[in-house]
Amino acid sequence: MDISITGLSKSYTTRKKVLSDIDLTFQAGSFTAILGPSGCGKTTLMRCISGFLNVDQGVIRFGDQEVTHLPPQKRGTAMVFQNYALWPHMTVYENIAYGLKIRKYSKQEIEKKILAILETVEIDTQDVKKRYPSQYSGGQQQRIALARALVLEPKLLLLDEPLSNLDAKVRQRLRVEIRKIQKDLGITAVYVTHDQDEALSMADQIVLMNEGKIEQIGSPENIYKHPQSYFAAQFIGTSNSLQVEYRDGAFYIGQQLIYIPQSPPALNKMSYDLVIRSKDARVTQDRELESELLSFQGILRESLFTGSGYRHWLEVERQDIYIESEENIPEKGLCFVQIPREKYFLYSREEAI
Amino acid sequence: MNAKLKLFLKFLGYACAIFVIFGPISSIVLWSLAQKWYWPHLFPQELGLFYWQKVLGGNIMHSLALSFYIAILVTLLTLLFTVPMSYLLARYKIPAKGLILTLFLLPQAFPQLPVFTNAMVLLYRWDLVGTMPGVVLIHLVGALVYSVWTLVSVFRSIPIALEEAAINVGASKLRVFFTIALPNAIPGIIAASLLVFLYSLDEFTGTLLIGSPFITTMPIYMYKTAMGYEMQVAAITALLLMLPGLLLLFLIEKYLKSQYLATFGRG
Repeated sequence: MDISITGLSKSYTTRKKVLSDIDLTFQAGSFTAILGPSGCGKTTLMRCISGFLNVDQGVIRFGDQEVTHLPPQKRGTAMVFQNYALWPHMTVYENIAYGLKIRKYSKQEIEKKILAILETVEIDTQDVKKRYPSQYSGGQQQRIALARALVLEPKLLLLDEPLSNLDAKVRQRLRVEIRKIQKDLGITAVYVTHDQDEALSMADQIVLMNEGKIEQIGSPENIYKHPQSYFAAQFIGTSNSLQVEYRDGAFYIGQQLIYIPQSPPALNKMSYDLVIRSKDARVTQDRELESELLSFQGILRESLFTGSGYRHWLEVERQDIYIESEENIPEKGLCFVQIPREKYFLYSREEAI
Repeated sequence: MNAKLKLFLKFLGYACAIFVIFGPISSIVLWSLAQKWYWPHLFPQELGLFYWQKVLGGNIMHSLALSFYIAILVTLLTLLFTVPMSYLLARYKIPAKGLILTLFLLPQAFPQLPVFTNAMVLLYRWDLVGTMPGVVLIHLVGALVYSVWTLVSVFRSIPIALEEAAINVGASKLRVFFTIALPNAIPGIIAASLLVFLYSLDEFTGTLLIGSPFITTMPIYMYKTAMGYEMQVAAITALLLMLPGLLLLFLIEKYLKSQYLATFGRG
C-alpha cells in the first residue's frame, strides 16, 4: 500500500507557513528518511501524517483511503518517539499489550504476539511481566518502544528521531537493526532525522527538507552525488562553501583566477557559491596542472590528526575551508587545493537565496 | 582543628534545629500533662493524665470526628471537581484559561476575613449558616485553589508524548485520561489531596464565621477552650491536631518515592 501526500500545506499562525506544497509518495515496504535541519518542518510533516496536526490544505492517502481528516486513532500508524514515551507505570509486557487490548485480542493471542515481537527486537522475554521500562537501558527502551509499535502491524511506521538520545555505539547498532527488522517485516517506514549519516545509511529514499519545503527527493546516492541546490550540497556531507565571482569573462575566488568549464552567464557580473566536500579535495604542496582538476591556492594554517587521517585548515582568499586527507603535510604555508571536476558543485547566488 | 570546629558547628546546628522544632512542642506536651502548675515554679507541681482523660472522654472526640469528617468530605469533593478540570486546563485549549485560573486565585488575593464575611451574607440568604453544607462550601473556597494550582502543574509535568503514544495506538481521549494521565499523576494527586485535607482540618476563620454556633471543629474547640484559660485542654487539642499532619507527611514521603516517578526521560 503506497502512501501519498499531495499539495500539503500547514501553518501555525496566519503569517508563516511551516509546510508548503509538500508532494510525496512512500512506496509500500520502503524506508524513507525525512532529513533536514531543526525547524525545517520535518516533525510537523510527521505529525500531519500521524494525525496529531490538522493540515490546512492538501490530501493524505493511505492506499486508496483518504485519511486527511481522520483522527490519529483511526489511521493505523504506529509511532516511535524520541524519548521512547514508554508508560512508566506499566510493565514492559503491559506497555506492549496496551494497543492489543484496545483491539480486543484474546489473552492467548496477546501473549503470543508479544513474545514473538520481543524476540524480533531482541529483548529477553523472561521477566517482561515483572520489569518496568525504567529498569532497562536507553537502547533497550527504544527496542521496547519499537516492539510496542510493531506489534500492531501498522500500515505505516513513523520514527521521530528515535536514536538521538542514545550514545554513539548503541546508535550504530540500532540503525542496522531497525533497518533489518523493517526489511524482514516488509513494513513501510518513515524516519525523521537531522542526522545525515542515519538518513544516508538507512533509507531507500531521502526527502531533504528546508524551511518547510522539499529541497530534493532521491536515493541516498543520488542526493549525495547530485545535489540539486546549494542547500542540498552544503547540508549533505562535510562541506565547505567558497564565494566565487564571475567578472570580466572569468571566474574568481577573491583575486584568484580559477578555471571552471562552464558556459558564462548572461550577466557581466555574478556571484556563485562553490561547494566542496572535505573528503573530495586534495591538498598538495606542488601544483599539478591537470585540466581534469579544479585547482586554486591557499595557505595551510593547521593540521589536526583525527585518527584515520588529518584535517587541514586552509585559508583561501580570506575564506576558511577544511579538507580531510590521509597524508600529513609537514610544512605550513602556501599549498594547493585540487578537486576532480565531478566532485564540486557551483550554484549561482539567486538559487542560493 | 578545622575538623573539630566543623563538628562543633554541625552539632550547634543540630542543637538549634532540635530546639526550634521540639522546644515549643515540649512545652505543649508539658502543659497537657500538668495538673497543677503555678508561678513561680519552673516545672508543674503535679503531673498526670487527668486532663487527657477528661478530654478524650468528653466533647472533644466529637469535634475531632467532625473535623475529620469535614476534611475527608472536602478532600473528596475537591478531587472530584479539580482532577478533571485541571487536566482540561493543562492539556486542552480552553477559552479564557488565564481568567479561570485567576478566578481561582482571587479569594486568596484578598484578606480572608472580608471574603468570608461576604460569603456569610450569601450563605445566610440560602440558610446555610451553622450547617455542615455551609462549612464544607466555605472550605471548598480555599481548597479548590490549592488543588487546581497544584494539579495543573502536575498534569503539565507529565510528558505529552506519553499520551500521544496511547492515542497513536488507538486509545480514546477518555481512555488516555484514565489509563495514562491519571496513574502518572497519582503522586501529585496524593500530594494535592493531603494539602487540601490539612487545610480543611486546620481551617479556622471560615469555620468560625459560618459554622458557629453548631459546628465545632477541632480548631474552633481549641480556640474556645483556650479562651476559657484551660491551657491543658488547648495543649491536648494542639497535639491531637498535629498527629494527622505528621502521619500525612510520612505518607507523602512514602508515595513520592514510588519508583515510577524517577523514570521520565531516562536515557
